[in-house]
Amino acid sequence: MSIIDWFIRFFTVAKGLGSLILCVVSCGILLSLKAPERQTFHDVMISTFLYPAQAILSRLNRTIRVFKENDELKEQNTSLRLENDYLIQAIKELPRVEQMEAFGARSGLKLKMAQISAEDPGRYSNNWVINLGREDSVDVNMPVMTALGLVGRTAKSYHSHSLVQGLSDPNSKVSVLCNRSRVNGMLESWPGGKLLVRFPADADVAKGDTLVTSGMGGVYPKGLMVGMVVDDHQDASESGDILKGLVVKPFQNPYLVEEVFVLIRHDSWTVGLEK
Amino acid sequence: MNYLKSLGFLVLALVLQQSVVRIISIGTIRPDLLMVALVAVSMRYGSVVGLYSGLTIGLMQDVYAIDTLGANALAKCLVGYCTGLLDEKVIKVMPATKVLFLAVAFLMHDVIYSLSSGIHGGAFWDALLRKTLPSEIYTLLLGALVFYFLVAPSRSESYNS
Repeated sequence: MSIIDWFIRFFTVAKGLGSLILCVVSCGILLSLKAPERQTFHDVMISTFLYPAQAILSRLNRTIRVFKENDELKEQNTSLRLENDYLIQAIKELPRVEQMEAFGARSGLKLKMAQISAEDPGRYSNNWVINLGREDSVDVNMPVMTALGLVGRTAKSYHSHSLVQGLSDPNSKVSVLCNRSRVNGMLESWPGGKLLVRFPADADVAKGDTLVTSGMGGVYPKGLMVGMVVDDHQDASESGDILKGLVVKPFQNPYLVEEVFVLIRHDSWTVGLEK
Repeated sequence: MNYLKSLGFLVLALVLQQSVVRIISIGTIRPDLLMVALVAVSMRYGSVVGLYSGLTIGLMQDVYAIDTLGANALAKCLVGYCTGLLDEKVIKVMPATKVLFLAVAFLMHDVIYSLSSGIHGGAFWDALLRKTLPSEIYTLLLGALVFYFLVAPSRSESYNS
């Protein structure tokens, strides 16, 4: 029997009882070591055996940490981007709001600013939902405008929001006045999204004349800026030359409206009545 | 060959213990994947492999705890040896039974470790209740998964032999 066979036999005989005794004795020796000897054992083991393995494990840990950190940074990045977008919008909104507030102060009217929270997806009419409702004292038939001019009226009022009927809505009719000749006309929408004003055929109205609300009808007070006459409209002129139609360009482009003012006033025929 | 296989399995457990366990630990409660691996290896390859695997793993852990040098090695080599006596080649055990053996082995390990590292009296019971038991429950849950899905013997191997 060679010495190797003897060793194998010693370590494996009786289910490794020899090995067990050897291991327990070794562990006992380790447990009984004094502090400096333990430190030596520790140093030798760390520098020769465990350092390379630990380095690989540390790298693995670092990789996992980087993945985790990456996720956190992505989340943070999204949050900061949202904040940035919000701030950019706020900066862009600021001059418009300032302009509108200056207009409100200058006109002396009781105005309430509203944000447009939804828009009619139709191509020809401009109806909006604004974030003011009955709780903000906004009721139906209140003029809606911007600093540039009239854009419509409130058609329906709910608790916290209202529906605004734009000037180009097919059901919208506004009594207007030519600023120069003081002739009354009727502003209405024309298929295709245009605004059209009808005057008596012999009225002194020409291209370049500006139109304001006449105050008739009770909904819009007199003098609100509406738009400018830009062209004749032959198709809209009725037979017999009783009325003539003119194309109007509104002072406020309805497609570029983001904030509006609601003029807090009740139509003239309900003034004094309890609503 | 058995030593190499068991060594590979234990190294894998060591890597997971150092990496994944940090992520899945609940507060201070950490599962001990090394114990799961040691019990699995010991039961698969026998008491001698279990003994030396336990000694190796224990020594590696002891290197980082100078004050208790040898305690982990002693506890793990005894656990490896004892569970190795339930050699799968001799006794066929179901995964549920293995989980039970793991529970006993875990408790045995912590008792040996505490006593050999000089923890006695109230501190011993405190460590047993506050550290050993929560970690043991977590380890048993993971051990059950490992025994059922990773190292469970095939049906034919279990019942035809």
